Order: sequence, then structure tokens, then C-alpha cells
Amino acid sequence: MEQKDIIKLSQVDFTYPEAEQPAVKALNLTLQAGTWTALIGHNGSGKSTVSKLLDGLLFPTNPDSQIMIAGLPLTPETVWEVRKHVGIVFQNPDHQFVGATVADDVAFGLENRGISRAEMQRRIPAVLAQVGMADYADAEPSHLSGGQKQRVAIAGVLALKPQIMILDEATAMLDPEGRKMVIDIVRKMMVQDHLTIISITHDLDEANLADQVLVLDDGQLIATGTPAEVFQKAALLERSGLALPFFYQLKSELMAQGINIPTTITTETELVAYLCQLNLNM
Amino acid sequence: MTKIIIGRYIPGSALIYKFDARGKLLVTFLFVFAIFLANNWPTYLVATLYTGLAIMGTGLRAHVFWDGVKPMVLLILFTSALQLFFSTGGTVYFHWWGLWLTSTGIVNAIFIFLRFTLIILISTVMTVTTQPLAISDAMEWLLTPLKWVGVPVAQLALVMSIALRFVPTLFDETLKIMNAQKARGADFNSGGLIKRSKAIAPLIIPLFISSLEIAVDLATAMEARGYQGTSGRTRYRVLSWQKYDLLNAGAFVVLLILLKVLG
Ligand SMILES: Nc1ncnc2c1ncn2[C@@H]1O[C@H](COP(=O)(O)OP(=O)(O)OP(=O)(O)O)[C@@H](O)[C@H]1O
Ligand SMILES: [Mg+2]
Repeated sequence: MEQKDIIKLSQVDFTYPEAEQPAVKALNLTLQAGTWTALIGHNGSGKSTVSKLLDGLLFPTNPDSQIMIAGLPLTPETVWEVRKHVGIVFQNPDHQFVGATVADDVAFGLENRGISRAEMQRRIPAVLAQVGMADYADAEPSHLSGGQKQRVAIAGVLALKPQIMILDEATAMLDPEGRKMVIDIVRKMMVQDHLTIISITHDLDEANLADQVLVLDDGQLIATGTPAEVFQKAALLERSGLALPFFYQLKSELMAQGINIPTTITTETELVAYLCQLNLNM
Repeated sequence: MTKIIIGRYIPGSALIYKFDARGKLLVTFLFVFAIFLANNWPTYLVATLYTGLAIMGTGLRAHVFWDGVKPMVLLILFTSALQLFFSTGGTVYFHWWGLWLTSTGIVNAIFIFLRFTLIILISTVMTVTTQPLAISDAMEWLLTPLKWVGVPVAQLALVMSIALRFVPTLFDETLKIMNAQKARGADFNSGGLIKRSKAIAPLIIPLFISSLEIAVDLATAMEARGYQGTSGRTRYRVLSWQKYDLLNAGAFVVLLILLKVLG
């Protein structure tokens, strides 16, 4: 598939009613289809607000703001059409589980879209199998772990065949194992269905695996680029209250000790290999 | 708490589990009226037999049904006692001020006792063998006529099924808040009525706030998943009549005929 701009924001401003400060300021952004973008920033930096703007759950407060999703301008008139292309998985597994059972929950979005029952009976088992929850179709949410519930939420999004999937701290309440499982599933689906992923996260090691990292600070985009480019700017990140991923922390501390690390080294394994070889030379 | 509201359903595989929820709900509902056809020993015997067969049909242990009746025991006994001491007619065995113990009184008391108990037992049979979600679907079906006069039955049914879904979540939330307050030195289990009610306040307020939070999150999640009212929605879960339902209907019709003939 050709690379096209699936999300385009220009001059997007948003202020909550009765708020003094805008939550999002003059945001310009272009994302390409089929890529993984990590959106990071301190608490209250406006990440969730951005995700809600992308799905028309909120509308920009500046009339000159423009949001294009999958080639459609996002306006109150087109919002239901746009929403067909965007799926969101939220943070709290319990607060987004609508159905009484796993299958019912996946069905909820399909029912809203008026999909026929025969089609639902085809899609639901298929998406549950994709997220590894096929055996739990009749399980009640209170009998599932947080990670399982999030996988069901992902299945609910996948069933609607969106082009864009937003994870708003979807793994924040999971243990490392559940977290890894969810991320692996999403990554597989991204490749398989040519999904565009926006992952809002506080886990910088996860962000480090993205194609692109965006850093929000008080509603403004203060850095964008590949993980290597963004995490290079240690001082900037620290000023906006973010810690570096472990690899970059180590690298910058080594540099501070006078050990020069070539810029070609971008992973932990390469760094380990380089350090061992450095030791040999001493 | 979950036990009271939704924990009534007990999984099982007896035939009665396969009956359509609409049929069971309807029969339970009509039974309340049918029992008023009973007015003598043979009719009460028939109604009792019908209930007994239904209970045996569930294949569940007796204490399940005792649990259903237990909360109502005082009310049943009180109502029966009123009948016992305030009915007049027939042979008088005992008379003291306004209280009478008469043969009519004794019979009436037994009938009232049976009527109450049978109604409770039949509804227990329904709730223990039908999943709450199916009951809520059946309720929607039963209320369909109200749609014609503009009652938003489909929305109400959705609200009900979501409410059922969130009972365990709110229950967990309550436990969490209770533990948090206990950790701060709250004591929910001792002291008089006033002290205990006071201890409840720091429980209710956070629970109320967290319920609101859940509601806001849930509304956002529902909207993000394309919910825009119940019109134009399709249904994944549909109830369908089976051949077993003829058994349910048949048994009830036989009951009605016997009550009518013997009464
Ligand atoms: N419903 C609301 N009404 C008013 N202000 C709000 C509302 N929701 C968020 N805000 C404010 O908007 C700003 C951005 O909030 P947002 O939820 O987008 O942050 P976030 O980056 O997602 O934070 P977190 O990491 O805590 O999820 C914050 O200052 C917050 O207080
Ligand atoms: Mg957020």
C-alpha cells in the first residue's frame, strides 16, 4: 500500500469549558498510514485530549483548526463517518467493558453500526481468536484479568475494521506480562491490517519501539521524530518532566563519564557489544 | 451484595434452563394472577404440585429455594398471622378481645401462607435458572407494548443490562474504598446504629464520586464505539423459541385448567 497521510492536524486549539489554560495549543501534525506513533508527555500535558479530538469526542475550539482523518475533514456532520475509521482503547479495562459477556462486548460496536447478525457471528469469533480470547467468548468481565479485558477491548476495535487505532494508556494498568502481550497483538495487527497506531504511554521503553515519537508539553508539541532523534534531546525531555528510556539514560551517563558512544549504536544489544569490545581494547 | 442482586443465577443443565427466558418470565408473571384462582384444598394442592414439579425440574438442592424464601419469611408469617387471628366464621375455638381463632381463620392462614410461598418459589425457580441478561432481554420483550405509547423500552433495557454488568465493578469499588478507609482507622463493624451510620458516610461519598467517574468514562467509551441511540442498532443476542417451550406453556395451561375446573 502506498504511504499516505492518514491523519492531518493543522492549527488545532482546544480549551475545556471554564478552563483557564488551553489543553491543546496550535497543534500541527501529520501521520502516515501504517505507522506506529508514540505520544508521550507528563500528566495533564493534553495527550488524552488529543486522542479525543482525533475521534470527534471533542471538537477544536478555534474555527480555523482543521482535522483530516482518512481523507475526511472532521466536523460535527462527518463525525460518525470518521468514527468508523478510528478505534480507541482506553486506560481502565473496567470502565469500557459494556457487554455482559466477552462476545456481547465485542458485539456492542457492531450492533451500533447496524451490522447484520450473520456477519457478527462471523467476525466475533475471528477477532477473539486474533487476540487469543477465543475460549472466553461467554466469560463475564468479572472473571477476567485486566490484560484479558484489554484484549477484548482491542478485539472490539478490530471487529469494526478501523484504519486507525488509538491506545490511550491502554497498558498502564497491566502487569509487564499483560502489557507485552497487548503490545505484541497490536503490533501484529498493525502489520496484518495495515493499521495506523497511536499509542499514548508513560512507558518510554515502549515508546522507544515506535516509528515516531511525539512529545507533548502543556498542550504543545515540543519534539517529534524517530525515537533516536527524540531521546537524544535529554535536556528537553527532563525539563518537561520525562525520564529517558533506560538505554538512553545509560548512554548519556556513559558520555558524561567521557566514554564516547558512536551515534550508529541505537539498541541495548549493540551497546553491550560495543562496551565489551571497548573493554578489550583498554 | 452481588449475591442479593444478581448472584441468584446458578448454572445448571436441567431442561428448565433451556426454556426461553420470555416464557419463564411470562409464566412467573401470570402465576401471580393464576394463584388467585385457587380457593380450596384441591386447587391449592394442584398449585403446590405444579411448584414442586418446577423445583424438582431445576435439579438444584433445596437450600437454594429456602434462600429465596428466607428474606420474606417474616412478612409471610405476619400476613398469615393476621388471617389467623382476625378472620371470623366457621367454628370458634377461642375468642379474646378482638382476636378470634376460628376454623375459617386457620384455613385462610394456610391458604395465604401457601399463596405467598408458592409465588416466591416460582419466581426463585425463574431467577436461579435464567441468566440476568436473558431476564433483561425478556423484560424488554414483555414491555414491547409500551413502545407503542412512546416509552423508550430499548434504551431502558440497555440501561438495565449495563447496570447488571456494573454491579460487580461497583461492589469491588466499595470493597476497595472500605479497605482504604479501614486503613485510615475507620470501623464499620462495631458501635451502635448511629456510630455505624456515621461510618458509612465516608464510604458513600467516594463511592458516589467513583460511580460518576465510571459513568463518564463509560459514556465516552460507548460514544467512541459508535453508540448513537438505539435506533438503527442490530442485535447480536436474540432469544428464540424452542420446542421445549411448548412444555413450559403446556404445563401452565394444564395448571390453569385444573384451577378453573376444581375451583
Ligand atoms: N473534562 C475536563 N474538563 C476540564 N479540564 C480538563 C478535562 N479533562 C482534562 N482537563 C484538563 O486538560 C489538560 C489536559 O488533560 P489530558 O487529560 O488531555 O491530559 P493527559 O496528557 O492525558 O494526562 P494523563 O497522563 O494524566 O492522562 C489537563 O490540564 C486537565 O486538567
Ligand atoms: Mg490521559
